[in-house]
Amino acid sequence: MNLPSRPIHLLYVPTLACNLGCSYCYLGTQTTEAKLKEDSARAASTLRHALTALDEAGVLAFNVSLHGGEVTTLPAAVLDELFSLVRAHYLRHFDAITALGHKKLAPHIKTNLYKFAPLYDLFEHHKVSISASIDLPLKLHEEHRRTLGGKGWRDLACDNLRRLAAYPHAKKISATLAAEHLADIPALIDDIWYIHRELGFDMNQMNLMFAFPSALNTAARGNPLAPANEAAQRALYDALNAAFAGTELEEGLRRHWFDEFTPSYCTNAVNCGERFYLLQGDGNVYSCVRGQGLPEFHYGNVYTDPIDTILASGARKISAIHQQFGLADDCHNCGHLAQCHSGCAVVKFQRQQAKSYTCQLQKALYRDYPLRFPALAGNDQAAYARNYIARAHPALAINMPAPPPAPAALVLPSDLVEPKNGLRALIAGDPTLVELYRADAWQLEINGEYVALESQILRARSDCHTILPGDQISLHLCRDLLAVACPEPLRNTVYLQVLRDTPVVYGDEQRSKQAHLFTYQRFANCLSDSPLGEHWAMLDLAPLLALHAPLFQRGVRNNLLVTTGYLRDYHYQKQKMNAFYHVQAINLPFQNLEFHYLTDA
Amino acid sequence: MAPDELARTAYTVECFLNALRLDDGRERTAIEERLVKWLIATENKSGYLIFSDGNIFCHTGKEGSRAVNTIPVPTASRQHALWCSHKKLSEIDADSYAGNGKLVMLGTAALLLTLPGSAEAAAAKPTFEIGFSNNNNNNNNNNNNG
Ligand code: SF4
Repeated sequence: MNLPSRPIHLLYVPTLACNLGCSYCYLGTQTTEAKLKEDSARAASTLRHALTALDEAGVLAFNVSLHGGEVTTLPAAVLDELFSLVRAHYLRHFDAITALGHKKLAPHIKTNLYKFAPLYDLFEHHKVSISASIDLPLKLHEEHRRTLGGKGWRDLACDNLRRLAAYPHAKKISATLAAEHLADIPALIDDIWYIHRELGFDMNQMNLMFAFPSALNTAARGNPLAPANEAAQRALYDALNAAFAGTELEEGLRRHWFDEFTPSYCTNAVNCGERFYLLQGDGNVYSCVRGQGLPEFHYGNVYTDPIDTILASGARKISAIHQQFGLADDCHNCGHLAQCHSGCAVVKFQRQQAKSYTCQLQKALYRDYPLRFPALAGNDQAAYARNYIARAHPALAINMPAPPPAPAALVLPSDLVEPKNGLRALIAGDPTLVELYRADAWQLEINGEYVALESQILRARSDCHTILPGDQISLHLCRDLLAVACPEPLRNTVYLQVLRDTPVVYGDEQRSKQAHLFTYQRFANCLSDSPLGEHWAMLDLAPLLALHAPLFQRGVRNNLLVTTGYLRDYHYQKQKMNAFYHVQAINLPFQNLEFHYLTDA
Repeated sequence: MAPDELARTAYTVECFLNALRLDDGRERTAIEERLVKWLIATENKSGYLIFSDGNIFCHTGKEGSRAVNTIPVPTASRQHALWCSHKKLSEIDADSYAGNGKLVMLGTAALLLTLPGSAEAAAAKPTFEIGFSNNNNNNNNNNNNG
């Protein structure tokens, strides 16, 4: 198995068949035309095929949820197999899924609860996490959620909600709201309390959704339910806040009920087609439940197309939809673009509008939770919008005026960061620089203790020694350095510079630099023999430092740099020849020792 | 201990506390005295001090040995660790040690080992991190003293 590298969210719809005929169903006639027998026969094999293909493509479905149609129309044996498959998948990828921060081990199912009672034991056996769809107020459940035969089943729904309340594993309720549902908000509030108190289901575990116009629903049923407009959505939000703040359902109100409109959901992804997919039992892959059956949101088929092609098609199609509807001025200037990304692509397509259909509601949430959803303003907002537009609306980006560069921005050539241009690589490629930067060619002896000197720009450790006038200090160097880059070693010198950390500003760059105190050169044939051996030479530094003692200041660090006269020349020649070297060796690159000189000891 | 060595130790500790950006005052003087005495008293001058996260840890013997004493210095504003023996201060380049970032930004501020109140200490920006490459290039283009 390849190591999974790309996490995705997979909704699996093993059948489009449904035992209900809800008036606002976005699947249109697909729920009644589905062939349950055929679906049952291939439900498990399609999921197995898809999960294997994803594994082989290095894609990790970190979440596999079962969705309808109505999944429970499938025979119990098929459901049993599907649950087992999902559990085995989670266990197979336990480490990778946990590393992503998810705790999934149980299958999750969306159901209308109609067949909950007979399937209870099976669900419990697999610890299935359940999301139950209901209508609120419950009187509309009776009206809109009717059986295929047109019968209401409110009593059964309430019985099953009681059963769900006692169900020992993860569970929640979701309610899809249209304008009609919001016409009687007090009744909706009463029924939330009724389910919570009378039926015993903890309504903190509820989330709300809004119906939106669906082409397939319109074609099948003439779209009898008008969507709730933004003012109605806001009115609901305000009414629920007023009714539930300070109650035992406040946590649900704040945390779960409006979660769908927060950035954690697919609706706020920059491009949901990169991460969210819906697989049908026939192998077809769509964007999600909202895009199911629409060619614009059909990404391919797992039986005929490679996974990479399907995923790429998803990203391309979603990008095309966002581009088709452009970016509204409101969104361009919105401080919450970073959280919202202008909303769901399918709803944009269904409504033929560029903005999120829950914009006002989202803004109320952003206002109420400013730390969770911080607003960007001014330059930050403009920079985010530019970045977002460049990614999501490239055609707009190319026509926008280029942003002014930040006044303090450094302009560096893009190849500066290529590995071959790094200082160490440049040194490795030049034998003379290798000698110049050697960390084993210079030793400073302080009172009998040897300190190896390294280039001050290469080392990652800094020492600062406290030196007293009576200290024995001598410099030892490998004699062969005197022959490097020098045709006549006799003409070479040991080149010392001593700087003091009292800054002076000079040069075209107006850099603040350490002040130079003195430079000293000793010719090669005037060096002493070193106790380190015949390949080493020595120079006594104590008299030189003592001579300059008046230049050293209490509390100010000094910096002794050592090289040879010819290596120093080579460094400057190299700087002229190679700009990458020049900029990285802008500070003296020679071996050094930092010290305080304590004159008044 | 020879008077010279006492002076060396006292001075090195003074620079150590300067580098922590510890304000002058009675408290600092007390810490300074305590540290100098402790360093001098350790056998074979094997004592060393480590500043880390608002504390000074006193160690003896091998590197990595257990701290024998801890002195809290909550007002020290230095961010990175600093080592101090009787004769030298040492620090590591936090950026290099933190990871393998491709871009090593060499700081421009010097190790702040100045005396409190000196012009250099006053000029140093406390928010600056300590860098390892001293600003001191004297290349041929802007050479002020050869
Ligand atoms: S919150 Fe509204 S204005 Fe802001 S980005 Fe989303 S849809 Fe656009």
